[in-house]
Amino acid sequence: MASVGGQPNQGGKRSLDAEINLVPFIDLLSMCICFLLMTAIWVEVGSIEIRQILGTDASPIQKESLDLQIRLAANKSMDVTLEKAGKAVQSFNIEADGSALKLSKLGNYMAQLMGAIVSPDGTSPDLTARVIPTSAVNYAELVSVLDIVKGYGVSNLAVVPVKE
Amino acid sequence: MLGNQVLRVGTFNKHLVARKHKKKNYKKIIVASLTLTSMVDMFSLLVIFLLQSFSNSPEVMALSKGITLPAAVTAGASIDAPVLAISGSEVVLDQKLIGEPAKVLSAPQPLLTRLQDLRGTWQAAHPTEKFTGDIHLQADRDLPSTLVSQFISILISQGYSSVRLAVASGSGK
Repeated sequence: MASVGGQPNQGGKRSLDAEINLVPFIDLLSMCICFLLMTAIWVEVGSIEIRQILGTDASPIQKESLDLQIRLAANKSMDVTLEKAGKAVQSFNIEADGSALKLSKLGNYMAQLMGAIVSPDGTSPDLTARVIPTSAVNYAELVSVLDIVKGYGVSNLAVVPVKE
Repeated sequence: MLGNQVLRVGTFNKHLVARKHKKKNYKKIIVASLTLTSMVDMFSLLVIFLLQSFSNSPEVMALSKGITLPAAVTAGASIDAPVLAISGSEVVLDQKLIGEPAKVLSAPQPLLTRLQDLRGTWQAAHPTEKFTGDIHLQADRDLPSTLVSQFISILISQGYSSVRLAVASGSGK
């Protein structure tokens, strides 16, 4: 039993010290901990939305749009092409980083691109990113590419089906 | 000489012997005190930490067996939608086994039928709304990306235009 205050009862006077029973308090805390531990979600599952516009009944794009095509190659390099109204306006290759994709360079390119296409009044044309996978690249790497592109504000993402 | 006292040979020995005799005369009384304050502090901290990490999101996606999700930083919240789970050995749509991935891709009719059934069920439940085409896709991180892309293609062909790739939120792997 715990008590508040440290002075013992002296001289026959009635003590004003209040005693707090800690047992129910500890019980309550233990129950709270058990409940929260059982209902805790240790791995939070989120989602990255892929909106495949081509070949569906989704509404057509009205604004002037830019298309960013990222083709993943078997040697883990990336061919990045920027298209405007179906015509390539910019194209370059990102070499592999050993046996992995060089995602940092893709991030740098995305930062430059997003900086260049935003007009002074803050508006930007619709940018659609299309990723063309290859069997040498696993799903985790594909998601990493989509994650980087989405991280720079590109919400229209598509994955081109490839049969290999 | 220590202070005012002179230390003689055998003084400490005498002291030890005297203490031993003294001990024999009295019963040993052990008083153990439990420090509750630190324990209550620890409990309180645990409760606060667990409350902070408590998620009250209504939609919690269950992970299928044999699937390790890839990690992503920009992931959004999960929604109420069917889940297509693809592991190295099986394809499961809304807790129902469809078959092996390679076989499903070569003969996708069972998957197409099940997708149409789910779409019909959704439309029956929401007669006044347009089909949103939302579906979650859980795939193992080590699968070839082309295999996953073919499943995405099947989903889109059945009107599921909003495919949500399930990922582990945060940068941890």
